Parts: sequence; C-alpha cells; structure tokens
Amino acid sequence: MTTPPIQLRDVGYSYGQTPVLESVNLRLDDGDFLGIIGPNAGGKTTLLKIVLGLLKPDSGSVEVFGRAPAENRGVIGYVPQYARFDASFPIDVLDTVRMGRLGVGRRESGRESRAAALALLDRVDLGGMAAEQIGQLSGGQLQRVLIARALASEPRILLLDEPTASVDTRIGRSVYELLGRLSEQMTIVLVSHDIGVISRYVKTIACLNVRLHYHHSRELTDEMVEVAYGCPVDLVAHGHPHRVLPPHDAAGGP
Amino acid sequence: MAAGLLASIASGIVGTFVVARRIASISGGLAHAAFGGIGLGYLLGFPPMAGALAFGLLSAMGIGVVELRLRQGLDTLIAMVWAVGMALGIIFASLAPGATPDLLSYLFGNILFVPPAYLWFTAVLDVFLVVVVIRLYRPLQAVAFDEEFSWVSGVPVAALFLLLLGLTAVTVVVLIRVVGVILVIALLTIPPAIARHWTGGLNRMMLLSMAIGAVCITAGLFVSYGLSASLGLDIPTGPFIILLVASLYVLSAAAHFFVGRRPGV
Repeated sequence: MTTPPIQLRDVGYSYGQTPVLESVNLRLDDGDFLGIIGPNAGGKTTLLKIVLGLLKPDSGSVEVFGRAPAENRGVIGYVPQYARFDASFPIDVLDTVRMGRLGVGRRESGRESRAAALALLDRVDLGGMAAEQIGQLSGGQLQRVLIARALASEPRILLLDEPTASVDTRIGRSVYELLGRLSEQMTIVLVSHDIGVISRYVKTIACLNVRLHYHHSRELTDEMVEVAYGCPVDLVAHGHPHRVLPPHDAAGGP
Repeated sequence: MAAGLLASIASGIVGTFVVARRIASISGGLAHAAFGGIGLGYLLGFPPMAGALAFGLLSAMGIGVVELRLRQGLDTLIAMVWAVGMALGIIFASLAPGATPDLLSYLFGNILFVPPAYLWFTAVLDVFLVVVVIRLYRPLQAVAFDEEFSWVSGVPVAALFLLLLGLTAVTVVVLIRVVGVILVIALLTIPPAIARHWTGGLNRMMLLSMAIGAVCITAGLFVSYGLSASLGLDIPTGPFIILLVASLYVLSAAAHFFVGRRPGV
C-alpha cells in the first residue's frame, strides 16, 4: 500500500484548558477531495495548521507522505483565510504569487519564476492584474491570487481555509470549478463553516466540532450534522442547491 | 551632509522592511537598548559604541528568539527592551567614574560633526545592506509579508527574521553616532511611511524613502543653518530635520487621503 498523503492518528490539541481537537483520526489517499465543515471555533483552522506543521499536536501523530510535516515542507500548498491578511502590505499580485516559488532548494532565475507566476495568474483568470497592489483587489480576486500562490509551489496536497468566505456565489462557483479540475492532480482538503459551500465538487465530507466525524462518503448523515452543529438537520437541508443529506424517508443513520 | 546622504540609504532600506512588517517601534527599542551598552562602556572603560553594538545585537536576537518561540507579540518585547536598555544605561552611567558622560549627545547626535570613521562605517553598512537586499529581496519580502505561508513552502523563516532584526540593530547603532537616537527613529519610520502612501512595492518604497530621507536631511541642514544665521539663534539641526520630515508626512497623508490612490495606512 502506498504512503497516504495525510495520516492523523488520535490527534488532540487544546488552547490552555479548552480542548479544540480530540482524538482526531483521518487518512486521506491520493486524489481525495475532502470538505470539512463545522461551526466557528470547531477546530478547523487548527486542524489545518497541525497538518501544515505550523502547530504541534498535544497528543497523537501527524504524517504527510509518511514524514513529520516540518520535515516535509514544500509538499503542501496552503491557502489561508484571506480576511486575516494585511492587505495594505506593499506587494503586488505578481510578487505575491512568486512567493510560492521560493520553496526548499528551488534554484531558478527571476525570469523563470515570473513566467511560472504569470501562467498561474492566467489560469485563475487574473492575467491582467499582475501589477496591482494586493489591497486593490476584491475579495474574490485576492482569493484566487492566494490559490495561484499555493499552486506556484507545485504542491501534491492543497489545503484551503474558508476559500469562499465573503465571496459572491458566482465567484465561489468559479473557485470550485477550478478546485474540481485541480483535484484530478492533487489531494485537496478545504474547510468551511458554511455548509452551503459543500458543492458537487468535493468527493467526501466530514464534520468537525472538536471531534471529527468522517465516513468516507459524500453524504452527511443526520447524526454527523447534529453532532457537529447541535441543530436540527432540516435547517441545513432545505433550500440547498445540492442535496447533501439523504432524503428524509431514507434517513436513519448509516 | 555626506553623513546624511549615507544615513538615508541605510535607513531607507531597513526602515522599509520595519514599517512594512509593522514593527516600526523596533528602531526605538533597539536604539534605547544600545543605551545600556553605551553606559556600560563608560563604566568599564571600553568604547561606548562597541557596547552599543553588542547590546543592540543581543537585544535584537533576544527579541527575535523569544518571539519565534513564544509568539508573545513583538510590540510587548520591544517596549520591554526599550525600558530596560534605558534603565541600564542610566545606572551604568551614574556608577561611571569621573564626570557623568553626556548621554544627551547620544540622544540627538550631531550631524554637523560626525567622526570620519563613522562616515566609513556608514558607507560600508550601505554597501552591505544593498548587497543583502538584492540577493535576498524575495525571501525577505515573503517573510515580512506572510511568515506562515513562507514557512509552509520551505523558506528559512527564522533565519531571515533574525537577519532582519540583526541588520536593524547594526543600522540603528551605526546611525546613532551619525545622527543620534531620536533622528534614527525618525529616519527609519517617517520616510518609509511617506513612501508607502505612494508606492505598492517594497523595492520602490525603499528607493523613494531613501530619496525623501536625503532631501529632508539636506534641506534641514541648509534651512536650519540659514535660519540660525539670519536670526542669530542656534537651532539644533537634528530636531529640525525631524520636524521637517514629520511635516512632510502630514502633507503626504493629507494628499493621500484626498487623492486616495493607495490603500496605505
């Protein structure tokens, strides 16, 4: 059996006395495209940072392609929440994307990294924006710049933190179409507090609220949603473009 | 005047990073940390500036390592180093034998009478900074902008962060002797802050802040000299330059507000 891209065993993490993650087990295989949903403060960003190696779990183990994340830097492309950015930082779009080319031991000329970054900007439909200062961009544009930056490192895994938060629906859809195409080449994990983003593009869904509920399927069970959100399933099931819950009469748990 | 021009090159480069990274107060913190070294130099009889350099570098590394380990928030660490350095300087100086050294001369320096050796130090520092920035521009930019992403993609974040702090410490200490503690803080902060109103990239911001620094220092020298001569007063040059560059900031901020070109601060 090949080494899984991501393997978490019994991971726990807490901020002081407050547990954020408890006995999280997760194994992803090549080509997986996992959407993790859960309430705010449910530990989603913390989980991503543990996989990235930015945080060390209090207990349990994390492996990225069989190695500790800190020893495997450059393998994961990271798209952080754009709202947490200092958008007034004096840097333009092209240089932001080129940050992704600075990976471990990469030796390339300025011209090569420019060309690579420009090609990626075309790919995310921002071809004409290379010289813009990042503070001039709309939320959706900045989001795509951050995706291009993550792709610039030619990652084998892509982790996205709330990629469509405060982006309008049309832009959100174009981001998902892009991710759908990318998922043929790499393993993707995205987290969101908004169940609405779980579209037809993700292959599997998990719920995270301190504990992770994952059944390797695209369907959310009533039990998962109730545990994760502590609210009635009907609230999240109706009026949704894609049915992520089984029809009511078929419901009844896994 | 040569001293002023050389000083504006170094402070344009370092100041740009410091302002963009939002740690402008580090120049003040390290400058006052260096005070501890100056005081110790007087007490133990070694060159005060050697003590200043040692204290500045040690404080920079201390701040850097504690921040990387504990993530306390740089502003807190800087404020502590600032106060402790100043306190040590005053205590050491009060214990020093003989006449109490004139710490005030270090506060404002005297740009009109810079020892020739320090002109050379500053010139060497300028060349060194230019070479470092040209070679490491993109990694330094990446770390200043987004440490987490840089780390994830394999950039040696800790080393670059400490390098930036170390360069800041050396720059601050060398410039203390040239322009004084207070003018160092002003030069590292205000010209880059003005440049930030009008540029969207670190490289242009550096060049513009060097130019602003150079123009303000030159103009400050001539105008304060001219005013002093015509009014028969003795207007200190360093503080005059600070007021000049600060007024320029106010004008720039107002213009920027009304023109609204860049989303600066």
